[in-house]
Amino acid sequence: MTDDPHIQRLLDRAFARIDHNDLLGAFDILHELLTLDPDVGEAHALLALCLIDMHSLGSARAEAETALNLDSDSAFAHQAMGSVSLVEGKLEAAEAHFEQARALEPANATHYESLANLDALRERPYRHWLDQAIALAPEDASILAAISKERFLAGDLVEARRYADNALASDPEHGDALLAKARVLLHAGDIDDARVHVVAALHADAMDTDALHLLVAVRARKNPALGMWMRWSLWTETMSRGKRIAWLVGLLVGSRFLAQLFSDLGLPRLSGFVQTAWLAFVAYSWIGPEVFRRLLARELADVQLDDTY
Amino acid sequence: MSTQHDPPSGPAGALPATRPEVVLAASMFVGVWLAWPWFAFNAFALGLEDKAQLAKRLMVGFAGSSALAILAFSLLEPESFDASLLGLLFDDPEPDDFSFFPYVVIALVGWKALTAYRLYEDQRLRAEVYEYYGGTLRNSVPLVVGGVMIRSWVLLQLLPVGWWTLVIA
Repeated sequence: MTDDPHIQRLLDRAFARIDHNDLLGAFDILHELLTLDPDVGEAHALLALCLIDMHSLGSARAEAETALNLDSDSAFAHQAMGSVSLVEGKLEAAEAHFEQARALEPANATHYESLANLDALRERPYRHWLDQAIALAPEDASILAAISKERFLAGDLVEARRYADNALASDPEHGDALLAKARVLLHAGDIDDARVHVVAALHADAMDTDALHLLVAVRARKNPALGMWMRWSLWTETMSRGKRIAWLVGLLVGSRFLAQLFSDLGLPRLSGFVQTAWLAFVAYSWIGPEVFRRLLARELADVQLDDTY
Repeated sequence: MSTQHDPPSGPAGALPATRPEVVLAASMFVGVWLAWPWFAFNAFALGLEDKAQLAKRLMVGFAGSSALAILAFSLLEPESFDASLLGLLFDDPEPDDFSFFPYVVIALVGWKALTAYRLYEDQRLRAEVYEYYGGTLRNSVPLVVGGVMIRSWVLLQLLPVGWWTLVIA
């Protein structure tokens, strides 16, 4: 926090711009602010977060380091440095900074949410972080949506729907909340309603990767071949990395073993069928992602963003 | 303090990085002799942090493959040696008599696929981040095609045929 009311106003405006996904607007305000007073650590940390989203990691790291140099006990500066480390793939460093931020500000739900994101990326259990976050901020739409997603991936659809509804009740225009609801609706087969929610989420953030994936998933449901691919992808994506690899290698070894066994048993046609089925699966899974990408481009061309975007 | 920033740019990699799925394809269509060194090279090109894990995966992969290849070779009759090996490597007709040899080779194929998938998964996320932040990933499919074309020369003429042929195939 700063004592200068003008600086504080600029900082508040920058936060507001970021809340509305106006990164360039926030960037300009922060630039103006730091020209007036280059020693506002919070502004450097916020600038670092902006620069991450603007894909400028080197500059983001420099800003986060400046923020930490100005105030090494700033939870926000540690949060920014943790975020930079996370996108750089330096997960242990990210964890250290998020933990430090949590130690400095134990009542701030954002730090628990960051630790949940980190553990989700590492494929470790992360529900306990979200539980702590929601205890601190019971109406935070972002955390409610994150719990909904976690429950969905765990196969608990009733709870996933409940948390998605709560997230939307808390903020009907929150992108993650809309996606949480869309995910549940799509799973229940309510394709049109799911599409409405996904497009609404894309209006909030046209580059939301989760929204783009879901949008294609919605379209794929109307095409059986692609729908099958999507189901396979979603099924494998919900597995842990080790389990997914085990499945794929198991399919490879299993099909070869069966083909060889049928051949040894004097059943060459059955052996040939197994080999053909395996080749068809390989070709399908090889072509699937490319067809998916083309479908995505076509689908995006149909999405009309509102004038305020 | 300065707040001058250049336009956002990607990671500056000195080495050419390749899409990990292409290297995975090389392991399927060309063989370990090309794919595993390529995975190691790609790890440096992508700036993968955990090189120790990469080395561990490669060492475990080679150790397991060698053990299975030696076991497979011990099951071969000396007179069927060439025919069996060439048959399994290049899809020629297999020996008529029942043998456990092909089943051990299937286990070997599975083991090598497991290693390749794990190496691929280690690099998949890193490659996405690399590309997201402006890095260029090469397609490198011509290298795979070239590898397919010289595969038999590498396996049967460049090196003497032995149990190691099964490891690097």
